[in-house]
Order: sequence, then structure tokens, then C-alpha cells
Amino acid sequence: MKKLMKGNSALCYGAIAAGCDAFFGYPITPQNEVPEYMSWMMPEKGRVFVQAESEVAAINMVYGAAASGMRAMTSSSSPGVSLKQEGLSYIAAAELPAVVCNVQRAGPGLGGILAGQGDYFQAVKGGGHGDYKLITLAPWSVQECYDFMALAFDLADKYRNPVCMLLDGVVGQMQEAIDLHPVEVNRPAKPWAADGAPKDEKAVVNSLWVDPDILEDLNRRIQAKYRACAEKETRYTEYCIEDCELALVAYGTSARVAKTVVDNARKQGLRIGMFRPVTLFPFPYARLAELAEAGKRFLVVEMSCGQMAEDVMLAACGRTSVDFYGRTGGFVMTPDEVLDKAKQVMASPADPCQRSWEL
Amino acid sequence: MYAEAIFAGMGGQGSLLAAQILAHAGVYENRNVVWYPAYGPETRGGTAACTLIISDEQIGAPIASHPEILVAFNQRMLDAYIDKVKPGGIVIYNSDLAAAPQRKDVKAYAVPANTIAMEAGNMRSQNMAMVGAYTRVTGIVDASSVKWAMENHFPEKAKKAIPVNMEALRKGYDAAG
Amino acid sequence: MEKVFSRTKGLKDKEFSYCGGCLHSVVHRLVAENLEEMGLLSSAIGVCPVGCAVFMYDFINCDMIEAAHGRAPAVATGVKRTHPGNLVFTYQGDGDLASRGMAEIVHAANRGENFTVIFINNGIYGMTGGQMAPTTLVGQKATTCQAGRDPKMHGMPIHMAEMLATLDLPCYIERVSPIDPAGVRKTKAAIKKAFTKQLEGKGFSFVEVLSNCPTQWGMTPVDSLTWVKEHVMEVYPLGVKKER
Repeated sequence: MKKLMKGNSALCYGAIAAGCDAFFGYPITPQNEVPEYMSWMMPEKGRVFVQAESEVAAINMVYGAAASGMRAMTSSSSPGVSLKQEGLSYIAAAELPAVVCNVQRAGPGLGGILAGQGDYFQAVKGGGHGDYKLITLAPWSVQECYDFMALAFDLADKYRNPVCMLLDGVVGQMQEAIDLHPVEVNRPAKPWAADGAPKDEKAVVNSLWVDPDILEDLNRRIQAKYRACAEKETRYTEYCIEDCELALVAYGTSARVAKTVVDNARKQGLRIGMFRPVTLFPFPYARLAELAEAGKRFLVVEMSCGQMAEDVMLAACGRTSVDFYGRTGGFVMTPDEVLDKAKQVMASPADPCQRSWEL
Repeated sequence: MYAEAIFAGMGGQGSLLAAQILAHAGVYENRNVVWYPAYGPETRGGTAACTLIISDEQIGAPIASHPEILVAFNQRMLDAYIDKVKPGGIVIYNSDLAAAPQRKDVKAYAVPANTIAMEAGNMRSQNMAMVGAYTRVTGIVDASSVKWAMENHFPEKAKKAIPVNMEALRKGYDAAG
Repeated sequence: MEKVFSRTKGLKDKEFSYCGGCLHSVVHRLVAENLEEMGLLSSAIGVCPVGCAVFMYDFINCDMIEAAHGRAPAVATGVKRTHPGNLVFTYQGDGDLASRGMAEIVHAANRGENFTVIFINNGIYGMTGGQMAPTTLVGQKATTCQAGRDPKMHGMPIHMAEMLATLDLPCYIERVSPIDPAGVRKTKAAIKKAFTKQLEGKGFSFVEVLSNCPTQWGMTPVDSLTWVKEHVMEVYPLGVKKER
């Protein structure tokens, strides 16, 4: 039978099933269930749990465990994830696999503890210093919180790059029934790991390259990796897209709202559909470009001031209109608000140069 | 079938647990279920509210903005949420702590939850009286599933109070008839 | 002729990049000799700092991880918790350990993490150009306190060994200084003792090494060693601060 649990708990079950060896965390609302669950689940399985002294320490513990060949993760919420940016840049530069969960809350600053989606830029554009990206997965249900953990660890290993599970407070806090199906754990060999095992040449895990030729080569290699990742790993789902005039583009909780909006709109005979990026990096630019080419208009719905909306505009590239509806402060938009906005957009001419950006 | 409900009371009245027991009953019946607690500033002043959605279809928005069902544990929460209920919706209210709602376009069910709880033997079982009423009035989940949920998902430390709560559940069910 | 001395296998075949007279080279060799003599070269995992010893991974012949400035104790925690059977050590300077990484070192020590920290205290930021460190002596000149460290403006030198010795779980804390042959022997012995205690699972071990910086102190190597003896040791007394 399915099991009722919070998204935050599902992350833990997913991590355990995916063979996570070590968890390092720090309390912050609304992700507290993650370190709380891991504090007993990990030792029970003979694995490592440490409550770190800070998010800075936690991400560096992840760096150490990952550098020595282990599947390691941390979790936090927005202000705490800001503290992890230093470590994430080093992890990406040292090409280490690791998973970081961000149960986003409303920002900026200390912000509030209710849900938000204001960390999109931080997650998908880099976040720390230098040129790197986090492969970013955006679950919209408790089931996906579970399912995507294994995917996150696999992608991290495959591309030797940190993977971000980008949730929001609603997905983290809500309970749904999920299927805790067994997960196939694929552990690639890690001959590069500084694991203290005998080997011909001693391993060095490093992100310091003072020779500009070597550093530029590293950057080229990392970017090539991201291009390959974009080709193979871009994921999205579509709902009532084929015949739609207007596609709501949303992820996470906003996409859950958008799905209801589509259902309500269809009952009223309005041809509205939904496009949900599942990987926020790599972003499904190509598919959105196709939809723009086919004449669909976009209304981006986010719990932010319009962050993913910029990627949708990049995808549309002037071929169609991109409008935006957002709520911040911890509010989740209601289906009625979004439907009103959608009707307003559909009643206006489809001019790519005119955007209505509503907060 | 798609039913959105808000359960709202003061902290200690057990409104969140009430909805959670029903959520487990929904899962037992292989339904799709969302339980989402209001947390943070929304709970200011010791209030405790949550969304409960039980559906045969995939559930979209996880927060009820216009529920079909309101389960209000006291006057304050009845007043706070009554206007959000859809016309034709159901309002189940604790008649020991709240007066009948003025709205004529909803069906209101009075449940003397405190009285029932006292009779059952424990004041804290008032939430299960409300669960009984929800089960009877909405017909969304079967009473046997709710009993299963109580037996299997009642908080560990309150396990010995299950018989009393079962009694409150039955009385709440009857009261809403 | 009989060969009585050779380069330790604990060092890679690479020339040190340190300034003439800098004791980093000596301490590196002592770490390397201990690793070799204890048979740990193919199992030890070292964590390097950011500072002059940032290239330590080029010299020490075991698996090495480069950490962010100050974070080596957190990195080592991640390594040691997942590899409890391997010897794990960090090697950190005073800016790294006692400034940016103060939280990481204190909490790793307080958790009693079973690894060894080798702390190089020379009271200056060598690599970035001679700025004031948390351990700079009162009155000592640096590029960010050109008239000398003024306690009213910059506070007092931090005594890491004594401070960490107030915690319950560290098993061994000693301050040494390899400024002369006896000091070199004591430093090597201290590192060996720390490694040994770690292998016995006794918990956090910390060897503070009073070192020099002829370049940024603006002294000849010999003068810098005299200065350590006459001034630095007065503020930072040598000896065992905790052992159990």
C-alpha cells in the first residue's frame, strides 16, 4: 500500500533507497524534517549523519565525503543554501558528484518561512562564483521527491557535478500517498577519488589551477559536459498542450496550481495548457521554442518576481508573447487569480514586444 | 470524485490530526490525497488549519482556496473560513463553540463535539467527533477505512486512547445524521 | 659506500616551492616521514588549506584533497566519517584555521572528530602578501597594521592550542616549533603521537607548529628563527596542552 508522508520525508526515503552514504545538514524551516529523519534513518542503516555547525560546514563535509568517493548530500532552505554557494562552486570545479536539496522559502534576506520560488536564478545560473551550473530537478509531488533522489544521485555521478533538488515549502510540507518502490542503485567506479585505497598514482581532488591554460581547459570541459547533459537529460511534462492557445509555464507548486487552472479553463471552453519543466537546468529551451514557433503564447507562473520567465523569454526569442503572473511573500497563487490573468492575456493581442508582468 | 476541505481549529483541538486520519483513510481506499498544513505566520495566535483533498483524479493545487467542505472547530475559525466555502458546500461546525453560520447557500451540520468528547470520556477526542461527522456527511471515505486509519495511524503516544476516540468518532457520525 | 639517508617516499619527486628558510618544507617532510614510517602512504587522506601550503598536494605522496579556505576540518569530517579506517589529517595556516575557519576547527574539535590537525602558526598571511593574521603578535608589523598590531584596533593574538584544550573531546594538543634540531625531533614526535592516537581511535588531535615567514617578516631565515625563539614563544608557550 502507498504511504502518506511529507515531501521532506520522501526526500529522505529516496536518498536512502538511492544508496546515499552520508548526510550533513543544519536546521532551517521549512526543511527541518530532512535532518530530523536522516538523524535516525542514516545510523539505522549504518550510514553517516552529522549535524554540522553551519551550512558552510555541511556543504564542505559533503565535499569531503564526495571527494573520497561517497554518495553524499545536504539539505537546507533558501538562506542556508546561500551559505552553501561557496562549497557548491568548489564541488562543481573539482567535478565531484553531490546532491543538495533546497526547500525554498520566501525571500529575500531572512524573508519568511512560507513557500517561495525565488531561488531559481541561484540554482540554475550558478549561484556561487565562476562558471558552473547545478543540474536542477524540480519535483512537484511527494512521489517525485522520492523518485528524483535516485535520479539526482545518478546524474551527479554521471556528470560528476552537483545536482540540486529544488523544492518549495509547499512540496516539502505537504503530505501525499507515495509508492516507495525499490530503486536500482548504479554506482560507477570512481578511480579519481581520494579514498585512501591503494592505487598506482595518488589521487588529488582539487579546484586550484593557476596555469590559465589548464583552467581554461577545465572550463571548456565543464561546459561541454553541460551541453551533453542538455542533450540527454532535459526533462519536461506537458498537459493539454497540443491544441492550446496559451501555455502556462510553471514548476513545483506553481505547476500544481497551473494544472488546476487548466482543468477549470477547459470546463469553460478555454484552450489553455500547461508546460512544466522538470529539469530547470538543463532548461527545455528547444521544446518551448517549438511551441513558440507553433504560435502558442506563454504565461509564466511563479512564486517569485519572474525568474524562470526570463528563460522562457530566451526560448521564445521574440517568436511569441511571454507574460508573467507571480506571487511572493509566501503566498501561493490561487487558481482563480491565474485564470483571470490568463483570460486577460488571451484577450490582448499577441505582441512579443508587449509583456504584462504582474505581481 | 474530487473533494477539497479545510479543517480549522485552535492548537490543541486536534484539527490537523483529524484531517490526517481522514487522509490515511483516503490512502487506504487507494485515492489520491493531499494534506497540507498552514504553517508559519498563518498559524499566529495558536490557530491550526490544513487543507485535505481526497480525489479519484490527479490533484492539482494542493491548497484549498475555495473548499467544498469546511470543518470548523470553533467560532473564530468558522468566521475566518466561512466565506471561502463554495456555494452549495458543506460546513461542519462544533456547535459547542460556534453558532450556526448565517450563509444560506451552504449546508451546515452542527456537531456538539465537546459534549460528545466529554461523554466518550476524554475532552481531547473532540476532533474524532468531527471526523465522524465528516465521514457521515460527505460519504467520501467509508467509516471502516476511518477505523482502519485510527487503528494504524493514531499517534504512538496516544494509542491507549483509541477506544475513547473510536466512541467519539461513532457519536460524531451519529450526530451528523 | 653505504647509503645512510635518502629522501622519504612520503614526498613526491617534486621540488618545494616555498621561500628559502621557510619551515613549511621542514614540516611537510616531517609529515611525510611519519606517513612513510607508519606505513600509511597508501591509505592516508590529507586535506590541504588555502595559504602558502595550498600546493601541499603536489608534495605529499598520499591521496590529497584541496579544501576551501578555512573549511579543511569540515572536509576532513566528511572524509573521516565515511572512511573511519583511514588516517585523515588537515594541514592549515593561521589565517585559514584561526580566522576564516574558526567555526569549522572549533566544532570539529568539539565533536572529537577522529582526525589530526597540523596547524602552522607564523602570525602572518604569507601567500596574500603579509597581512595581519589572528595570531600576529602585539606590535608586530603587517601590511594591514603597518604601525604594528594594536590591540585596541585589532584585538589580541588568539591562542588556538589553549582554546581548543578547554574542550572535552580532543585527545592530544601540543605546541611545538622546529626552529632547531631538538625542535625538529619534537615536532616529528608530536605528529607521530597525534597520528598514533588517531589510529587508536582516541579522537581529535592537534599539533600547533610555531613557524616563521622570513619573506613577509622581512628577516633573514636565521633572524626569523631567533625571532620565533625570543618573541613568538613568549606569547605562545610550547608544550602539551591536553593529553588523554
